[in-house]
Amino acid sequence: MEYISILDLEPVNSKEFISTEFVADLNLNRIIDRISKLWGRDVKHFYGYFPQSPEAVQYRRDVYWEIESRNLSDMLERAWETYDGCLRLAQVRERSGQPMRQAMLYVSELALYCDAVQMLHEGLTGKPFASEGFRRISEALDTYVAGESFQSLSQQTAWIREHMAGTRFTLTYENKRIVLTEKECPATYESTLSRLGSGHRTVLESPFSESDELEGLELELMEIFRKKQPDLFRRIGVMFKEQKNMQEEWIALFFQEIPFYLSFMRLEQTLAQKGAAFVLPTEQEEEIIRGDGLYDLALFIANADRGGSVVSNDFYYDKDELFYVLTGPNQGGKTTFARSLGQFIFFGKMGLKVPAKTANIHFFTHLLTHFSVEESVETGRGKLMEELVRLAPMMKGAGRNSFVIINELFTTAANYDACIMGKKVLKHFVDRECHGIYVTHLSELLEAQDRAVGLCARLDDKGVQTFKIERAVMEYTNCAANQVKKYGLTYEKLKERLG
Amino acid sequence: MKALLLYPDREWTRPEMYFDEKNITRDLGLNLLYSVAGKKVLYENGQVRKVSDADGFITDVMHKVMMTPLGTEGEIRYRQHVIADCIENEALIRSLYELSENMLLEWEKLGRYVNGRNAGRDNASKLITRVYEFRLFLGTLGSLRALLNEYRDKVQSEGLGSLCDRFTEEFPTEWEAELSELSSRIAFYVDDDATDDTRATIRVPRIVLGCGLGSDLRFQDFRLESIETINRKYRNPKGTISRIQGYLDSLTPDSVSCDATPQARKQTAALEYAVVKYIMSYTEPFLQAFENFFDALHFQTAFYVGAVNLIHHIHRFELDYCYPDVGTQDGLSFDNLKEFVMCLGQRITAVGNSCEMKHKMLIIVTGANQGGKSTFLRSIGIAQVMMQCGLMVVAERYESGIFPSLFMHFTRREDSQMNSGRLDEELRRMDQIIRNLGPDSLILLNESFATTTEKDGSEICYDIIRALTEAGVKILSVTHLLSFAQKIYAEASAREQEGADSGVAFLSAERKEDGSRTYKMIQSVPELTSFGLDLYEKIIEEGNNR
Repeated sequence: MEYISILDLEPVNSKEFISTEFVADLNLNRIIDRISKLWGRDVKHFYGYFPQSPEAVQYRRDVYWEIESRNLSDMLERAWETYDGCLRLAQVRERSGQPMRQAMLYVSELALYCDAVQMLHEGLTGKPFASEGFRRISEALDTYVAGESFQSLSQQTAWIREHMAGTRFTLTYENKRIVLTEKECPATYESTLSRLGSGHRTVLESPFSESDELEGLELELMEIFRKKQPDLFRRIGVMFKEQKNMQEEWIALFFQEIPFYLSFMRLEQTLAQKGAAFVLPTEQEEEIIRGDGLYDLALFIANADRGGSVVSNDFYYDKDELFYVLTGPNQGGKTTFARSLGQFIFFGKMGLKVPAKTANIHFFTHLLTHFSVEESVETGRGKLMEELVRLAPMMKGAGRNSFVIINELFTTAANYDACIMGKKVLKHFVDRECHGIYVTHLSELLEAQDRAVGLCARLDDKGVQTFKIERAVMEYTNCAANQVKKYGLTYEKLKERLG
Repeated sequence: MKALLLYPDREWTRPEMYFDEKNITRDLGLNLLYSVAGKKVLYENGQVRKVSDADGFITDVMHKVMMTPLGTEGEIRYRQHVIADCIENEALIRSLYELSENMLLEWEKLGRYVNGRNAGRDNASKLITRVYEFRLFLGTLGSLRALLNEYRDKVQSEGLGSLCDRFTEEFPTEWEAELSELSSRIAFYVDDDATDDTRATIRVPRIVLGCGLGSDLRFQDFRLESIETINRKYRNPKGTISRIQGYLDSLTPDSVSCDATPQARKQTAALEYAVVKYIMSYTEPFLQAFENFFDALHFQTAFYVGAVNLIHHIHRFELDYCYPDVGTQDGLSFDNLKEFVMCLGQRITAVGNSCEMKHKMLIIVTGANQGGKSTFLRSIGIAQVMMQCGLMVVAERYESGIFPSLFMHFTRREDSQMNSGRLDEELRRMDQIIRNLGPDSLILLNESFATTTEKDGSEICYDIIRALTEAGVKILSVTHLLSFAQKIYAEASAREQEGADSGVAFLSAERKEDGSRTYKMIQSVPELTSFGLDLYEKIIEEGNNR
């Protein structure tokens, strides 16, 4: 049978796993944590590897586009939740040691599985899908649902379910005994209670809920019921014995993978309400790499919680440009810009939307980051040493089509040394035709590097940070002058005051 | 349920105290008054036997309530009427206060503040506590009903009258009866045994539940059909009768024993717990309705108990009191007004002052040292604070406008050195006052700007006071800055000669020919000397001669 995965075009054999350092440098962990929180499950595993080819990335983008443009997300979420209920029951069954209950749980699992498949089939049927992913799933579902094995499975589970759902009991607890009768009880006292707490809703919890297992009194009572309904329990037992492995693997895989899209969409919807822009990038190699309204998604999430906003920036790499050298005052938004660029490339490579208003992206085989590190107490190495140790494999690994982000290298080295080393590093990457950004205090790095372009974090007229990044080379400014002015201690001012 | 004893339309929540609350309390010496309000006067055969220790809660409440001004005459009258009721029905207000206090104490003993989710106790004991809390609420409300019913026809004020009516309306007897019945149905959970007549009985439950089957083959969707607590004669479980009964019970078809194994006993306990917890969840609206009520009642009645205590102290020192009248802001008149805090502190009957000032927004008091100027200023400040929180005033008559923005600018004894740092502090305080002025502001200045030279101080004072009065702020100023006072006087006289109302009143501490002080303020022209020489003579020279 054809390989059917909603995430990958073909089976992924050699997954290049993404390093945790890299995830931390770009604050991706914060974004992924928020996605997990909104989704209610950990989604980190989806972000463990990149699709390996431009086609594989496009495969995902098409699926994303299809879910969105055909409003499939609600239906998919419902089907996924139903299937998830089936998985939860399976976990309970695996833990349970009682044949009677295992059999019942298995039948219930199958019932939920049938529900989920039918929901998905109904939601997808008859739609002319443009994406390869949905086309594959939809075609396979048509065949499977019409087949005899699925039909028979769904009929049998339905019969048992109806029988069980219709059963009601009365339990009378008196004189240290509980009597079970198979009849509906009118719940008389509930109406008295609801008069007391008008509008108050509460649930009477099962007295047996403390135990995960059918045991003690509950088991004894269930045995009484079983003796009264031998036929029902015989049918359940037969199904359990005969119908193992009734679920299709590709359907199970679909439900494992679909949250990748749905969870990211939930993040998108939540943040869009607070003004965040997301866009599915185009990937046209003949056009330049560019993004309008690029922002730091992790910062947006943190600020949105506190009611703040973030500054966005436009950027492009012109035809022959490979590297940005970003300089500017402290706290001017340099690192934030570098991070947002990294996130842009990361989510683009993942086949998801990127945090910007419009975007064109190229396919990069690698995304490499180097953010300044703390001195390591464990290794006893100094900061410069730590930096170089981490830089070495990165320089070795970078080839054409890598995207490289470097943030503040060699800050502990002497200026003269740092310039020389910095220039060498930059030359290394440019020579290998890597794209990227180098955040630094040293504007000298631009010298003798015509494929690198200078960016600068801009201050306004009063010398206050705007967090806007412009194409410019930083001019020399006396940062202390502002403070002097503020306190009225310039020469002119002192003359005036003393005069 | 709301108490609404302090305001006709709202509960006491986050108070908007005077901005200058700390200075008002300090400069008017009000801590003594708050404390005295917490002390009950005990009588024996109509004579004062002793004064109790201060009730710290009342003291605290007096502080908070007195430092939160009322905004309208209606609100002031509302409290005055409740106070009048409390004097007539002192037992009622004291009972309300004690009832709420005892209830809160009991509640605290049950673990009111440790009963949160993180409390380290097991669920069953938490539930038992909850049942006890419920019974405490129910019992206290029962007592409260009896008390309010007894006094309904005796109280006249809107505040107390509407409390009685609201209580009946919001906690009807039918509701109480239903809750009591519920309480008796779950009695088995908290009372293991009870004595019925002379025979020992035990309380046992009878619970009927409905339920369905879940897809995981567990019982689910439980409903409560009925629950009862049955009183049963206690029998020794090892006795013959119990054993025979046990055997007969075991013959019941389709039944299981709850007593056969430890697990069965545990599950039975869980069943009782689940049902009682479920029932108790229906008492939540009731508990919530009254959750804050007792705190509110305790707080609000504390104020009135404090007021009643103060009246006993007023009688004790043979002072007069009146319910002040709200007048216009440019008027201030009173008869025999006394400085209450001084009376309390020094246990004396101070000299009273009378005044009749109409259309005056600036009152300047000058005159003899030790002549009672500061006392006079304080007596007005105290009366103003007491009036603005609805209390009575120690005078035969008091009428003034309402000034929710009240400020003190007193020169402090320890500050009165010629010291630019002190002046800086005074100016900063004035700056603070000006930043926080409201539309209805009154500032009491006592020897302000005396920390610099007479000339500088006068100029500063003149500029500030002129600007403030032009902005419509009422000012009472006790001053030694005579050039300032005389400058104002010259301007005022000029205006009055033109036939206009100057809006300024000048008062002076009365000094007899022989230099002795009467401690009375009289309307007079500011004089060039404050007669400090008299004092110098009296204290220094007489002392030397002795």
